[in-house]
Amino acid sequence: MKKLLLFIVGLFFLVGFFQIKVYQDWKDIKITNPDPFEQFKVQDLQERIKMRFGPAWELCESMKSQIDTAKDRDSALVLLPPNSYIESQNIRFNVPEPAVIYYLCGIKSTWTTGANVQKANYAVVVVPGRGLAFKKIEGPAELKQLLETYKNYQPAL
Amino acid sequence: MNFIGFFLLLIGQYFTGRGVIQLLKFNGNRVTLACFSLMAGVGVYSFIPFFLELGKVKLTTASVGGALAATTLIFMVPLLKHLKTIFSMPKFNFRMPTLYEVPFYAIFIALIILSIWRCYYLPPNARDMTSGPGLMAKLAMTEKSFINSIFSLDLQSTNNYLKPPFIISLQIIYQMFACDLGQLWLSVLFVAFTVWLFSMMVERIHPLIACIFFTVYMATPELYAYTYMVLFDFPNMVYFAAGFYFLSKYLDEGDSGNFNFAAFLFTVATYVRTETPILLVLALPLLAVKMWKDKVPPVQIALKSFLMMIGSALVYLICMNIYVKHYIPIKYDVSNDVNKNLANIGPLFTRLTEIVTELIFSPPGMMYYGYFFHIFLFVLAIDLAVFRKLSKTALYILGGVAVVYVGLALVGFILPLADLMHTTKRGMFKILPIIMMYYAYSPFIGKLSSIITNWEGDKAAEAATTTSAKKK
Repeated sequence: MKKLLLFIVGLFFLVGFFQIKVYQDWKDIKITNPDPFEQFKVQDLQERIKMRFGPAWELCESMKSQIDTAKDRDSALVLLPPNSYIESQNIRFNVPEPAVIYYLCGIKSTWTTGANVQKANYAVVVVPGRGLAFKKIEGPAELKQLLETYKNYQPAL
Repeated sequence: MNFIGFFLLLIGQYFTGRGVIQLLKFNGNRVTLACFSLMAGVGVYSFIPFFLELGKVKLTTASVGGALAATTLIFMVPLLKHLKTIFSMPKFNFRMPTLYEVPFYAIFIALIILSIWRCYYLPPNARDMTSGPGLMAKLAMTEKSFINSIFSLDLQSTNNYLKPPFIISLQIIYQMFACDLGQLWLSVLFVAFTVWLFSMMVERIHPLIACIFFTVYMATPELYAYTYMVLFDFPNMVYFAAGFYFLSKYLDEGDSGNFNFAAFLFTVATYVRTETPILLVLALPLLAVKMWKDKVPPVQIALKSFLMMIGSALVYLICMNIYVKHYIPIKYDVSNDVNKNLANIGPLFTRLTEIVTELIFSPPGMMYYGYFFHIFLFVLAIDLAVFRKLSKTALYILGGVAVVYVGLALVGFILPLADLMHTTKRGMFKILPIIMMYYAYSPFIGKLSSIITNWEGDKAAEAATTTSAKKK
């Protein structure tokens, strides 16, 4: 009987505890979501990476699909626009840093202040009204023009 | 998932850790020995790929696997005198959970399973991981060395590749032998530490009270997230908090095994986060004052302090002065990260204040730690106002709370890169289990436990409470 009473006390505590806003939010937002049973249906590693990294992974995939078939893939170096510049163009997207891009797709990239920036032969660029695009840099003049565009924006995370 | 590989790793870590425990003459009950065998084993394994790398050995499955097997065999040598110990799995004196523990156990087990699942399933996405140890481990797997193409990247936005190779090494081991994403070593630490912490509490206080406080601990939002998100802070918490517990036990009971094991755990904690020696230096006065009171000669006090620090100091030197300074092919002067104006101690007090006002008692703080600290202060206030006398172990553990609080502020003061909302926030994890250890020695909670136990009339529980009261 006494154990039953303690059992009821324990149950009351647990019910009350998870009614407290901070713990209720935690349970609803972080614990029961995402549903592990839904996750169980998706076992493929690439799919899991895609779900985890979202737009950053998609950007990396688009770079990879173009560079993998290019003749200069071994020397590919992608110029990344500063995030402050992207923000100034009213685009809500943070380009990952070069180390993270390399982690996701094995492609080398550089900030505008990188030591090898003059060797950049590809670029992530802002296309007004459309968002970000990935393209090949057509010669030193285009690279110079891109760097000129970004010169007032410091690269940062 | 390679279940056989994972199982072999668990066995290897268990026996390696058991060997460490034997060497250090550490003793404890069966749950403590089993849990800490695994944790110590993970700690020892985490040095192996790093030392192979420093020895210029290529990191292949054969070299890493061979080194793991050899290390396990070497650490099993001290166990040879105790063959029974080796081949008999620990006999746990399982007691069936009482009715009132069942709903709590259900929640704890659900949270543990969910954490393990997420650790296995979710690719690491913390920036500190993907721009540092995660990338380094991935490249070391394909290029067979820590010196790899990471150093041909534009690394101006990160220094995460300079962190000590605790995570890199474990990621390499687990990716080679267990699963694609590695990571499950974190679950091994989480489960072993959680089981030990809970069993330690249940040993001293009434199970219902222990379950209630443990629910608050397990449901600390920020802490739980890091049980499946690989970063440095959770492992550092495990090794530091456990080390501090055994240091407190040593100070109270004088068993040298506790001291040796604490020093070992502090060594691993330093390997995980190299700022740990700052906290250890702050903990030294506890040791020195205790020995001074016991009329121990100053030379012996100095020697004991040296022994507590030597492992950590060596690991620090290997990581920072050999690995970062001379091994990695990038010049990085750590001294540039140090506050140049240490004479101005204003920022130290600012950080001490901010920890309280912006981290603990603030709306974001509630999302990080819930009501954990509010409850602690309530219990402490009752202990100080009503009971007024704390056991020595309780006092030493409270010293640990102070060491972490002041130590983290000091780390932020000395290294301005250690910011409040990232480094300090996660560093605060170390306080949480130390507070749980305090609950096990709190006179208020002890009294409450005795009242419930007497009322419940459970002779076994009563005997346990009486024994623990005598120990106090």
